[in-house]
Parts: sequence; structure tokens; C-alpha cells
Amino acid sequence: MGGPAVSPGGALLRSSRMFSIPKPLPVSSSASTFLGEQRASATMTKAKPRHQTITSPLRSRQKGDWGLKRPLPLKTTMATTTPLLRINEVDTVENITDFQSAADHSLSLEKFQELRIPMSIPRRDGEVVSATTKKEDNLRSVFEEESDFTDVQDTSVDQRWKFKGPWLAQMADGDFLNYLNKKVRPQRVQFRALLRERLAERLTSSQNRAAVESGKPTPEPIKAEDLTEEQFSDYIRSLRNDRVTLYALVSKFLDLPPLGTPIGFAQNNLIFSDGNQATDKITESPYGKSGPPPSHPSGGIGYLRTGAFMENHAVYGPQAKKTPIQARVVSPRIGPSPAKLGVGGFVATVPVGANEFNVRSGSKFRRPLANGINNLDISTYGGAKAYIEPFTATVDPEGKVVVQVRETSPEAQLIAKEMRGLSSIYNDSELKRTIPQPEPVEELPQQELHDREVEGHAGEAELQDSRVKQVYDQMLSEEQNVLSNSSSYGLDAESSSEPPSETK
Amino acid sequence: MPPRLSILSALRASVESINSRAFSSTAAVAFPPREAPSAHPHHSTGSQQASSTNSLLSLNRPNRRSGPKDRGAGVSVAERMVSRAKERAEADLLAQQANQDLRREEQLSKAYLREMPRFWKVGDVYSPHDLSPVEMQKWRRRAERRGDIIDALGINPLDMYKNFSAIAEFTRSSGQIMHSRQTGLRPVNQRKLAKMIRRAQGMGIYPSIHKHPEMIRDRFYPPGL
Repeated sequence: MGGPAVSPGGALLRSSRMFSIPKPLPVSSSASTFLGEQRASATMTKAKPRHQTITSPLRSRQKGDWGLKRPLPLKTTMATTTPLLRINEVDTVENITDFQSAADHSLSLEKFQELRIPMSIPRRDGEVVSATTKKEDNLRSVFEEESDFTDVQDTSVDQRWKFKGPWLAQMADGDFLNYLNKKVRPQRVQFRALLRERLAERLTSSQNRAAVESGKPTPEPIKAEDLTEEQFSDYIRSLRNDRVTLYALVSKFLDLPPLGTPIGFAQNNLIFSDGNQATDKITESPYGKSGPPPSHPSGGIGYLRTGAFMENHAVYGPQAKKTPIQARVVSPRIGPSPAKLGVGGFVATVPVGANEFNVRSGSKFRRPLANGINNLDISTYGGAKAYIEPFTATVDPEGKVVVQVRETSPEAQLIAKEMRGLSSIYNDSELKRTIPQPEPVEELPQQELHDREVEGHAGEAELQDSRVKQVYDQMLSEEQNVLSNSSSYGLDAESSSEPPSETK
Repeated sequence: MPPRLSILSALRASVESINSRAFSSTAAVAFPPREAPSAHPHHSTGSQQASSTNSLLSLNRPNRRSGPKDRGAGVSVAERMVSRAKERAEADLLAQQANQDLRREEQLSKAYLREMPRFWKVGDVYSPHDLSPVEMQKWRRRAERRGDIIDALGINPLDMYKNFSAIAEFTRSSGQIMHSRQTGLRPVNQRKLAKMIRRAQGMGIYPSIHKHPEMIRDRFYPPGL
């Protein structure tokens, strides 16, 4: 490879820990992160790690050698079964190395990989998954060809997760105003030039078509400079009424993450199609409703492509269900929010549907609730636990890993308990055989499921709508008033506050 | 406390004597009970009236005392009324007890949950340390503000003079404007905010020596009275 040859001293430094530890990931600077957090602990385990975890072999550890500038104290680094550290700072002004145990994230990673679940792309909007359909059918791995997108510069891919523009619905109001003023406003001239080009193209093609129909030779193509102001303002007026085209244009120009498909989008598109590929294509992005993740949709936490494999039991043979996981009921149902389960250290919601984790009134299929779902279980030592089956995980717009679980069968639970020596069902004596009757499949009310899906997104959809409108207004407003507009200098606030002070 | 139904027990006293066992042929009912039936309906043991569920379960049995078969054979209307009332009283009692148990459990759960103030969100990661009491205590305290909330919200503080909850956020209980150390605002916004609060207090729409009257209303007009 290229690059200048390094001196032996330089090579030594470069291969040392001191230099090879990457910079910590930045804290998300968005204002919305601290607006939501009213209460927090500084020492809590963060939802995602920022620092690299390092470890050291026993012989070196005994000498305090972690490959850093100075040896680390043996008292803390030797008295642990998990010698995993994160280095906050290699060297501080107090002449110490600031380190901390990284066992929390490292062991969480290990536990997650023991779950053996694939990372998948979040379900598209409107996709309702019921308990009767196989959920694997709807799952798409993040490592599939069409969505495993790693080239950040390439903006032509439809299934991207990385965009140059921000996701409008997630921004705090202050951030949004900043974005409008600093990023959107300065680009108005370029956008209007683009619109002129587009109008010229449209007019040219229509006049060419007219010429072909009347059997005349094709006239000169119309240039963007030749367009009159009146033509252009008419075009802008028509665009303002055509939200679909306008959004396609603005989002392409600013490279905004996609929106959920508006109601009637497909029909409008078919009727008013102008033959333009850019606007005609319905965005098939899975991140329309929930917003794109801040990292690759796998989050770098798991690399399994599919969970479609069958487990084999040494005695009972192939198993229909995966080995269930014992999940901790970290929180009971509080008001409208359902109970939370801790699956391998990741907090997840309880399985959807009519099962022992959901309180369902007036249902035919009422089953006794699991321990600790309705109220905190204070009698079980160590807290309430339940067997569930995780089947996939997704990365949400905040970068958190959301494990999705479903209920497991009682047989699988029994076998799992037997493996731990908690029950005994193995019986190799002669058994009387009976033909099992197929159980009636419990049907799940679709409405409730749909409500669950929708409730989280309703507010954001409205916000997104209003913000998109504001972006349009900014893009389409006249550029002449840029200099004369006092609000662009933040003067509006002061001038409006003058009258009350005069009365003092 | 079981409901004391004086009319019921009076009726029962008169009916017990007529309670003709000859109509039933089962062993349990044919023999007289070992102990005298108690005054409280929920103390009655044995197969006589275990619960409403039992009586429902035996609905189809031929030897049911108040069944249609017996009706013509001289069981008085009064007896049937009494047994029905008894059943209903027992069912009510059971339901009441179950309800009480549920409420007690709920209260206990709530009391313990107060010691675990962390509201878990989907996607949170925890390690054993996060479940410890030490860590849970930290979630009780309000996190200190780390950023400028006025910038984050993109609002003009001078317009908030009628927003009393916003003013209450930035004033003490006795009306002083909080220091920027506590509010976490940058100097520009702190000045604007202080100006707004001074104006609201000067206009007389927000008190300068105590909380807003709506906030301390309960102290003078307790909600229970």
C-alpha cells in the first residue's frame, strides 16, 4: 500500500493501544434527546456504546499492562471476572488514565448473540402482522442485497438508510428552525433554477408532441432562460397544489428521508403521471413512518441473515419452536403502557395478541396473566420471569436495538426447563398412542394490532406534514426579500417586544 | 365483614325446620349436617352451598334441590327464594373479597414501584447494576438541564408571559427568578426570560412572593371538603 514509510518509533506508536483506540462516537447533539429525558442517571448503562472495549491477557494484566501510557491499578482491574475496560481518556490533566468497566455493553453483546436472532428491517407502514400469519414471511434481513446499502455517496438507491437531509419529524422545533434558516433558505436560488429547467423540459416535450401530431418538423427546444416570469409563477402555483410532485422534487433536492406514502398517493400518481421517473416512483423505503436509523440497520450487533433454522434436540428430535428464552418482567403494566420484558438485557415489549402478557377485557380467550404483568411480583425471589421466544431485532431511529418477541409453546418451555433440570418429562417406556386433534387457531382482532402500530406515529405524521409544508414555503418564496426580511436576522422578536416596554 | 341480612336469617330460621331432606336421595344431603348451620352464609360448609360456581355446576344434576323436579313436590316458594338469596349473597361476598385482595395487591405493587422510579423504554439496555437500589435512587432526582431549552424549542421567551406553567418552571416557590445555573439557559435567553417574568409580575398577572394561586389552591380549599 501507499503512504510514507514510518520510522520504527512511529510504527511502535501506531501499533500501540494508545493510538489505535478509535475516537468515541459523538453524543447525539439533537436537542430532542434532552427534552425527553426528565430524569436520568449518569451511571446508567447507555442504550448504545460509544467507546471501544479493550481487554488484556492475564500475564499483562498482572503487571497492570493494558498497552496504555501508564499501568492501570491492579486493585480494580484484577478483582473482576470481566476484565473489559473502556478508556474515557488516555491522559487527563490530573495525570491519570480515565477508565471504566465496559462489562455492561460487552456482556450485553454476548447475550444478544446468544439469542441467535437476525437483524431485520422494520416493517413497512400499514403492514399488519397477526398472530396467525408467520412473522418470518414479512421479515427482510438487513443484509439482503437490495437494502444492505453502505455507499453513502450513492443517492440513487431507494432503500437507503443514510440521507444528507435530516428526518423532519424527529427534529426539535429549535433544530427545525435552524435547519430552515441555515440550510433551506440559502438553496432557494438553486431550487428555482432547477424548477425552470424542469418547466422548460416539459414545455419542450409538449410542443414536440404537438408538432409530431400535426406533422410539422420539431421546433427549437425551449431554454430555461427564455421562460417568462408569468409562465414560471403559473408553474409554481400549479406545483403548490400538487403536493406529491412538489414533495418528490424537494425531497430529492434536499435529500430528505422518505415519508410514509400519503393517502391516495398511488391513485393520484396513476392519473396525473407526467412520465417522469423521479416523481412517479412510489418511495418503497421502510423508513417512511418511523424514520431512518442513525447507523446501519444492523447496528453492528448481529450478523445473522435469517432465523429460519430448526433446532434439534438430542432425544426429542427436531423442534418446531426455538429454545425459549427466560425474560425478566422488568416493569408491570403501568396505565396504558404494557408490561416490559428484559430479554438478554434488552428491554422489549410483551408479545402482541391474546396471550398471558396482555390484559384483554371481554375476550373469549381470556387466559390467566403471567406473574408480574398486572402488578409487580414481590413474592418471587429475583423477580418475575417468563419464557418467550425472540425472533428478530430492529434498530429504531434513536439507534436502540428493539428485540421483538412472541409467545412460545408450553412444550418448548417444558423442554427448556428440563434442560435446566427444573422439570422431568423424558420417559422411554412404552406409551399409549393417541391421535392429537388439531387445536382451533385463535383469531386476533386486527383492529387492536393496527391501533398499536398507528398510535406511535400519528403525532409525528402531523408534525411531518406541517413541516414539509414549511419547507415548501421556504423553497418557493420569492428570493428578493431575503435581504429586506428582518426575521432572517432574528429582529422580529425584538421589534415585537418593543411596544410593551414603551408603556412601562 | 359479611353482610348481615337480618330478614334473611330470620327467614332461614323458620325454613330450616321445613327443610325436608326426604326429597333428596344423595348421601350428603340425606344425612343431617354435623354442625348446626351458622348465621353467616359464608361459614356454611360442605356440599350444602359451597359457592355460586358449585350451584351453577350442579344445574343439570337431577338431585338439585330447587330443580323443576322438586317444584311440584311441595318445596315452598319461600325456601327457593331463601336459597337464591343465599347464593347471591355468597357470590357477592366472594367477589367483594376478590376485589379487596386485588386492590391490596395493587397498592403494595404501587408502593414498591415508587422505589423503582425508572420508566423502562423499549430498546433500553440494562446490566445488573441498573437494577440495584443505588442506581434506582438516581432516577428519583431530576436530571440537571444540560442544554438551552429555549433554543431547543425555538420559542421566544418574551411571548410566554401568559404561560404560567412556563413561568413556574423558572421561578422559585416564593417568586424569585432562578439563576442561569439552574435554568441552564445561555445569557441571551436568560435575560429575555428574566425580562418576561419581571413583566408578568409587574403587570400583576403572576405573583411575585408566592406560587400561582391555582397551584396553592388546595392549601386553602382542600379538595375533600
